[in-house]
Formats: sequence, structure tokens, C-alpha cells
Amino acid sequence: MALFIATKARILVTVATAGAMFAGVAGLQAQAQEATARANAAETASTATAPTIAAPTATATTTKKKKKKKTKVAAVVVQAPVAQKKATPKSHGSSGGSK
Amino acid sequence: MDLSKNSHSSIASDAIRAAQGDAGAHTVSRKFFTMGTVANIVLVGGTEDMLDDLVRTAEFLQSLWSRFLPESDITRLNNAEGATVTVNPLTAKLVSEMLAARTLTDGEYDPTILPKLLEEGYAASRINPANVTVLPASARWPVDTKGTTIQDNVVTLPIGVTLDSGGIGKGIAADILATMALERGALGILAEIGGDIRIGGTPPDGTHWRIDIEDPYVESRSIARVNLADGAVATSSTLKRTWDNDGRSANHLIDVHTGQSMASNVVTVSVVAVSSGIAEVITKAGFTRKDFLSWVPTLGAAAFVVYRDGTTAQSVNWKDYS
Repeated sequence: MALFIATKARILVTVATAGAMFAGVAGLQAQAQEATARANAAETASTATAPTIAAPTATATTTKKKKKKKTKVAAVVVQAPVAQKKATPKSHGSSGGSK
Repeated sequence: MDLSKNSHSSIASDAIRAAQGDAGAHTVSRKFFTMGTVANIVLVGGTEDMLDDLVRTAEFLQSLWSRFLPESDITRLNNAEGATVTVNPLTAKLVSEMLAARTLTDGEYDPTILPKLLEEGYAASRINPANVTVLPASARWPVDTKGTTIQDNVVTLPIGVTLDSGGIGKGIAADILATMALERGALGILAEIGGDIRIGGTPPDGTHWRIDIEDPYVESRSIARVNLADGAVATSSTLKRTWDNDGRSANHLIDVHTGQSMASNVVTVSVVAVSSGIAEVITKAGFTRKDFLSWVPTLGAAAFVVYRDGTTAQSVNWKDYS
């Protein structure tokens, strides 16, 4: 039992320090309070506005306009795989909706 | 070389890749079961110890967020009947993300739909049927979430409000695992839980991450491919987790306009977005929102849908990621 608790505590500490998006308890609290206020405001407002979110970073067709968006990771501009004369590259994962 | 002490900066990536030659950085991976589904982690420049920690973290998040576990934060919140509940900070974050996601999607994603999901016959865990979701008599839908408070790690839900972390929980968990791995020194990661994928950092071949979208009618066949440097892909399907409910076909996705299982002409929705949690909730709108493919780009996301007859369609910006 003691080992289990110790493991959970270790995980908690690790997760709580796991980067900007989940930047520890203080950051979580601030975000949670902000979200609460936003959600309540949205319920009462007749014209709710969708929050603005950043776009994911594309690879082959990233444009200068997209670079202006504040993504956390700088765009990596690479050439798209050439289908002809090359074997199809193996994928790194698949998304099938088995939730 | 102790990789765990390195940052995932491009300089470090380049240095390690150069040291290891064309083969690229060392890659380790793990396939495991969590949150009622299969999960996969691919770490570039990571270690088996890191994988162990990530798996334990996923299990920990499941213990907090499962609606099937009697002591989870979500179960305690759902049965609090208006009382305050002290939860893990990550659960407070999850609840706030749920409410924000409802606003983001104009209500097409609704975290309070749980009573209807149970009415449709999804009360017991598919993995362990002995674990059953029990809600108080006050639980109802539709329900107003106004009055929800999140103060530090103390959450109060109004009487009648219950939450289902099913889809968004997996997406946010993938986001947490990815963030955690990079923070701890991995050069790159792909974290996938039940079709919700978050990638970041250096891919195994040093170019970009390639994610295949599974053909809903032919298992293990790719119907589309996503190329990403950073971001997430999530897919939802009405063809998975289906059952018979008194002679009517039911599935795990509830239509917020009818309160019944989704019966859409769309069978699969895939979304590319900045995070897996956001991508996951946007997929829900793809089954009901008629302007979905033109609306998605306004959120900074892209979408690919498969219709019941097998035809496909995509948002105008999908090509940016394919």
C-alpha cells in the first residue's frame, strides 16, 4: 500500500511539472478559474464567441502566413514524400476512433 | 549519454541524430491497454523507464477520470448532488476543458450527456461489466451548467449535472503524456489513446510524423494520411462500440439534438488540431453540423469525413496536412 501511494505521488509530481500546458497547480488553478468564468459567461451571453485556438503545424505546405500564428513549436518545413519511384513510407500511427 | 537530461531542442535533436547517423535517434515504443481501449506510445530518444512512467501516468489518469470506478474524481463529482468536491488538479483542469470545449463547439460537444448515454445502454464497462456507472436520481439532460465553480482543486457541479470524460479524457491524456515526455527529455513522441493522437518533437525518421486514418470499413487499411510536425489527430466513429438497445442499433456517440445514439450519414470524423483534446471534441460536431467542413477551419483545425456510403470529403485546409 505504501508503495502504491508513493508511486501515485511520484506520478502526480511528474504530471504537475509536465510543461507549459500543464504548468503546475498554480497554472491549473488559474486556467480552471478562467474557464469557469468563461463557461458561465457563455451560458448567459446570447452571442457567445468561440475561443481562438492555434492551428497545428503542417509540414509540407506551411506558408509564411501560417508562421505568424503562435505555435509552440517552430514549423519544420520539409519536402513531402515523393510517391513515385519510392516505396510508401511507413506510418507512425493510425487514428481509427476506437474509443 | 543520458538522454533524459537533454532538452528536445532542434540543436539537441540534430546533435544526437548526427551522432547516430542516418538511422536516426533510438526509438522505443509500447502498446498497452488503458481507459477501456488500446494505447500506443512511440518515443524518439527516450528510454524504457520513460515508457514505464508514461504508462503509469495513463493509469493514474484513468483512476481519476473513469466513470466506472467508484472512487474516481469523476464518479465523486457525479454523485455529489451540488456539494463541493476536492479533486486532483488535473481533474479540475479536465472539467474546465470540458466546459470550454462545449463553448468552442457551440454545444455540439456536450460533457453533460451522460444520463442519455446510460439510457442508451452504456452503463457498464465494456472491459469489466461488473463496473457500472451509477448516477443520482437528480441526474438529467439537458441541464444548465451555469453555477459550476472551479476554485483551486475544489469543484462544484450544480445538482443534475453529471460529466462523462470518455472521449475528451483520452484526448487530454494523450496531450499530457506528450508534454510530459518532451519535458523529461525525449526528442519526440507519439501518444495515442483510442484513436486520439498527439505528436511532438522529432519523428523517428527526422522528417515529419505520418498518421494514417483507418478506413472504417476495412480494418487496418488507410483511407487518408496526415503529415504533421506538431499537433494532434483524433477520430470518432459511430461504427465502433455499438450494441443493440431493444432492437435498435446504439453506439457510444450521443446526438445532442435528439439525446439518442448518433444516426448520422457520417460514420467517421477525423480532425487535425493543435491538441488532441481539442481535436477530439471537434470530431463530435462532424456528425451533426451541416456546415462542419467550412466551420472547422475557423477553429484552426482541419477535418476529413467518411460517409455511410464510403465516400469521403474534407475541409479546404486538409491538404495542408496530407
